[in-house]
Amino acid sequence: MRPLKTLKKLYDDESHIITTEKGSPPRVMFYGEDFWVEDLPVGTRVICARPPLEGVPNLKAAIRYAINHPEGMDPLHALLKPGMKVTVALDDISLPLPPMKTPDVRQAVLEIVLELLADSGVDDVHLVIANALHRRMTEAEMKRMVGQTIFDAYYPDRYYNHDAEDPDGIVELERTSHNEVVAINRRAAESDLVIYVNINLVPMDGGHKSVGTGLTNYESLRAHHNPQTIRDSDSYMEPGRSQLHRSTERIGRVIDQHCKVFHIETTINNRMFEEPVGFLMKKEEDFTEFDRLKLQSFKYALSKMPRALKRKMFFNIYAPYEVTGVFAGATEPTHQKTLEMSWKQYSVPVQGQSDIVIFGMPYVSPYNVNSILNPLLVQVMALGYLYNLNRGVPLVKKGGVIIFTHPCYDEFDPEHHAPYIEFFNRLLPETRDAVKLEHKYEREFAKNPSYVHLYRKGHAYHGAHPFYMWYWGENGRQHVGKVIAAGAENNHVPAIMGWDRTDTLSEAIEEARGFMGRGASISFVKIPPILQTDVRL
Amino acid sequence: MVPLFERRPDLERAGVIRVWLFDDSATMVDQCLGPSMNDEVVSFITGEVEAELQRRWISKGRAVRYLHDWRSITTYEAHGRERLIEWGKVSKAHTAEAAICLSRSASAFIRIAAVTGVAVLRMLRIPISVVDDLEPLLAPLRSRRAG
Repeated sequence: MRPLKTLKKLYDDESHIITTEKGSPPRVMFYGEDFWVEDLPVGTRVICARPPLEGVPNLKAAIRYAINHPEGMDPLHALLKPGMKVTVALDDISLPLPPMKTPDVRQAVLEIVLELLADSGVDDVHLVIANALHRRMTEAEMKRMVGQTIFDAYYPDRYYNHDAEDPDGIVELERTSHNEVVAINRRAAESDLVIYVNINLVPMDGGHKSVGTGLTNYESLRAHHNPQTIRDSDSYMEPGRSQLHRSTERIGRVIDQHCKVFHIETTINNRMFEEPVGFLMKKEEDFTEFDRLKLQSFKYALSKMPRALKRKMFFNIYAPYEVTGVFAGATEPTHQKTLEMSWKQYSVPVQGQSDIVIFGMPYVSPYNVNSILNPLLVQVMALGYLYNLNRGVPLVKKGGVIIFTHPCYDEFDPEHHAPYIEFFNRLLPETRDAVKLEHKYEREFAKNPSYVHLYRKGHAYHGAHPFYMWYWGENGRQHVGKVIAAGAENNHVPAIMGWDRTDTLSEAIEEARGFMGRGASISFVKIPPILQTDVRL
Repeated sequence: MVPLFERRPDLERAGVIRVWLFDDSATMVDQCLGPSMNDEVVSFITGEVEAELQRRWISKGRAVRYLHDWRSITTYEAHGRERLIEWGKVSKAHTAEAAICLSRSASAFIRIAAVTGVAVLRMLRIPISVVDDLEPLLAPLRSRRAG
C-alpha cells in the first residue's frame, strides 16, 4: 500500500485533470461576453485550476509583518528619515483581472505605508502609477484603487500616472552590459527611496519588471519588448525560462544600483468570481441543480442584451480575491517568495502535451479593462497569455492546433486603442511578420505625434503598444501549426490574423482533427480561474 | 461626383478637390473627389487653400468655419494625416468650427483616422466633429451670395 503522503500527492496532482467520458457533463466556457456550454469529445483532457488558497487571516497584520521583516533589506521604518523624498509606485489597472472588490489590496498597503511615512516625518511623498506605455488611468479608476481618503489627500498633484513621453520626466541611467537602455521616471530616480506596491496576478509580473518596465519609456522597453526576445522565451510566465525576464533583470539590477527600491509584493488567490456567477469557479461535475439554473438564466439574460450592455455588466463584476501573501524587501529575494506562492496557486501538473488545445476566451485582458477586447487583444490572449500559461513547456505540441471561442468582432475602442486600429487595418494586411513590422513601422507609430498626444493627454495606449501585443503572441505563433477561431462572426478578422474560423466548436474540433489526425489528443483548459500548466514530458 | 454648389469652385484641382469660399460667414467648404487623402490633397489644403484663407479672412482677424466633405476618401497616407492634424493645431486661434463628413459606409480604418485627429484637436479645445451628413451645414450657404 502506498504511504498516505504519496497518495495525497497523487490526488493533488490528478484531481485537477478530468478525462471526458460518455456521460461527462458539458463544459462551460467563455465566448467573449457570452457563455458556451459544449460537449467535448470522449477522451478530451479537461485541465482545471487548483481551488483558491486560503487568504491571510489578517491582511493589515500581514502587511505590517512583511515591511517589518523584509527580505534582504532593513525594515521599512529603519529606512525612513524626516525630510526625505519618497516615491510610491503602484501597479496599474491591468492587474488583477477581473478588477478586485474594494478595498483594493494596493489601498490596504498604502494605508499602512503612508501612515508610517507620516509618523516618520516624511512629507515629500508622491504616488505614481507605473503604467509604462499603458493608457493613463481615469480619475474614477484612480479613486477606486486607493480609496477616497488617500485620493483626496494626494490627487492630482501627488498622485498621478507615469508619463513615458514627458521629455523632462525621464532620466537615463547607465546602460546594461548588453547595451540595453535603462531609463526611469525622474521623480523616482531622484527620490531617496522608492517603494513599489505590486499586486501579482501571474508570475510574469513583479520583481525587476516592476520598476524596469512600469516606470520607463519606449527606448528602454525596446530592449525586451521585441519579437526576438519573445521567440527566445520558452514561456514568459516562467521567469527562469524567459529571455524577457533576463533582460528586465539586467535592467533592474542597474536601477537597484542607482536607486533604493523597497518592494512590497502581494499575491492573491484565484477566487475570480462569486455569486451570481460562482458556477464559473466549479468543475461541471460539482454543479448543483441551482448552479445549472443560474447558468441557464444567465445565458438567457445575456442572449437578450446588446453586446455593449453585456460588457458593462461584466465589468461591474468584481473579483472577491483574497490576499495569500505579502512579501517585502529587496527585489530578488522578495520576488522569489512571491513566485513560490504564485506557483502554489496556479501550477497544475500535466502529463504530456496535446495535439489540440481548446481555450474559452473571456471578455477581458490586461489591456481592455472597461473597454473592448478588440481583435489584436483576442490575438494576445490566444497566442500570448493563454498559450504562455505554462512553465516552459507549452501544453500544445509543436505544430499543433489552438482552438479558442470568441466572436472576433471587428470593434475597437477609439479612446483607448486608437493606434491598434491603424495597426490592424493598415499594417496586418501588408504583413504578419513581427520582425518586419518592428523594423518598418514600430518607430513610426511610437513617434506619431497624434498617438503621443492621445497617450499623454487622453486615455490611449501608446503608439508602440499594438506592436507589443503582436510580439506577445510571437512564440505561440511560431509554435503552433494552426489557430481556429470557433464562433468567429465574420471572415475578415480571422483572415487578417491568419486563422481559420468555424461556426461551432464541434466544427473546429473536426477541422483540427483533420489537420492533426483522427487520433489527435485534445485538452481543454478550463479558465477561469487562472491556472498554469506544468507539463511533464 | 456632383458638385456641392451650383457655382464654380473658388479653388480647384481637377479630379482631386474642389473648394468654395463664403465671405459673409467666413466658411470654407472642400469636397474631395478621389479615394485617397494623399500628399497632393493635403498639400493643396494646407498650401494653396490656407494661403487664400489667410489673405481673405485670417489676416483680417476673422475666424473660419471649415466644412470638409471627405465622403469619397477610402484610404490615406499616415504622413498626410499628421500634416492635417498639425494644420488643425496651428489653426486653433482662428477656427470657429470644423466638421469632417465621412461616408456612412466608411471603413473603421478611415473613421479612426478622423476620430484620432478629432480627438487630438478637441483636447486642444478646437470645436471639431465628425459627421455623416453635411447638409444641415451646407443648406444655409446655398441661399447666400457667394464670396
